[in-house]
Amino acid sequence: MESLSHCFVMTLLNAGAIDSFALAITLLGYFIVFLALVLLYLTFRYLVPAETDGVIETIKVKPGDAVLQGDILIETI
Amino acid sequence: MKKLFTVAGIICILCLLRLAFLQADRGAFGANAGEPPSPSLQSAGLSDHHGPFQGLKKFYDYSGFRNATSGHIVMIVVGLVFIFLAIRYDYEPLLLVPIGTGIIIGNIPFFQDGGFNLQLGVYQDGSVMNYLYYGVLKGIYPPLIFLGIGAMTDFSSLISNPRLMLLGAAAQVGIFITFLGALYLGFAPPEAGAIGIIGGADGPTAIFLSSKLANGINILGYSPEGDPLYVKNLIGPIAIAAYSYMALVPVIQPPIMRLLTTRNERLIRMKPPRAVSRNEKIMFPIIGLLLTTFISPSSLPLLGMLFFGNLLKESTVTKRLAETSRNALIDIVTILLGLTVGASTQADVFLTSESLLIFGLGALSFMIATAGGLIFAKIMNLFLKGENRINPLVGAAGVSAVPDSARVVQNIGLKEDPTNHLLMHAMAPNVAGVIGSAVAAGILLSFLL
Repeated sequence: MESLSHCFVMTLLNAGAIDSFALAITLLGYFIVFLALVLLYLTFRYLVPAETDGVIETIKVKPGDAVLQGDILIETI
Repeated sequence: MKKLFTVAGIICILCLLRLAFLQADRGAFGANAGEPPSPSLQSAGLSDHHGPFQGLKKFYDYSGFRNATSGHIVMIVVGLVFIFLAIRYDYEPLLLVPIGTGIIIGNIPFFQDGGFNLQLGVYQDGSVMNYLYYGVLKGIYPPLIFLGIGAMTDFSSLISNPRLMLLGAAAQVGIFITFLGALYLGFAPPEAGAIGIIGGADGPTAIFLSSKLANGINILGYSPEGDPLYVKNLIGPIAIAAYSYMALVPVIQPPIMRLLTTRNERLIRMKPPRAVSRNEKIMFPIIGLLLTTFISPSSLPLLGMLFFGNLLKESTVTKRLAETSRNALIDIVTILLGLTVGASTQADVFLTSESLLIFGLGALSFMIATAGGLIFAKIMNLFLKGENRINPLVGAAGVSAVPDSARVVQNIGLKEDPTNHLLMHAMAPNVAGVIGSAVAAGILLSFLL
């Protein structure tokens, strides 16, 4: 995947289709998306105390039965 | 057979009427020794208003039959297909029925020769549709939709297994690769950014970003003669592509999911998610709002409303507001958004080579995003052991498209093992994908506006 992406980007750069500004947006943009969600992950992994250790029971609905919206999701399991 | 005769009869009558009016048209010109009426009068439809037959002719000139083009017919058929898919196959009916109807409304042909403004079309100043379209053009509807989404989303599965947030980030690769692809195909950077967001598989986000970046109003630069060069108005094609691919999640994703995973990987059972306390649920929107918007302030209209809606829900002290947000408000805005976005696909604006390119790039974007989530889940598994391992199918839900992609994951998982329910696990990257795509939209906005 990594080498494929590298090939793709190098092809575009060599063809003059994109410039370094576009490449910077791509790399920096993807990095920032990751940064935002990694920070959120770390916060909830290490800073916010997990107050319960109970387990949500395995879903007992047929495919398509679960309405994946808000409280209804919890009520269907 | 009777029905067939009826339809054929109606078509015959309409054809005869058309022929008759065309004859009358020629006759009217012939009566004046071949001189047509002045263009201004003709354009206003006021050239001949004497006599009952001329009145009928004027009526005919204003009718859809006189002004229809092949483009109108094609778009009306597209609208009908949307409605058919929604009703027959239940593909995102809450979106496709309003959009399909909007496409039909937007493509009813009417008299507009010489720029004559009957105040009917979505692009005509003063028309009702034009006023409603303002909410799309100014990016008002998407944040309101996000408010409703926040009020109906349960982040429990994400909070109980926060590492799945990373899948929601990984799947956004589709946005950025498509951005490069669009640049390669010759789109200007702001247009390319708006096209790329289709990979976020999030309709409101796509509309929000395209209304800011590819709205036909922003000035890209100036020609050597000093004339302003405007960005193209791509809101209609981008919105239609985004919603079409969201509706086609059950068709697009499964082949990619099977291609990139082995059977053993699809059989992985994940640890059941932990029950989450009320305090954690309340803290999530507050911390999420602060963290994400500090990093990407441009996504504030979307993420601010998303987390506000979620706080209304999880605080449990604002039940009425949460109820309104997730029911009445989001329903009203969805109707207005779907209808006006559909109506914005007027044949003369929509049926262009660029629209086809956008549809192609959108499909590519969606596939790359799905593959990105899957592959990242496999990479994460290299570092995880035992019950902490992730079923890579769950990664495909990182494209957002709530809740369809999670449902697809559940269905594919059940086909391999009827007792392995992945729904709750898939909801985590699914809602993280909503956050990730909104952050990506904010980033593109801050770079390209």
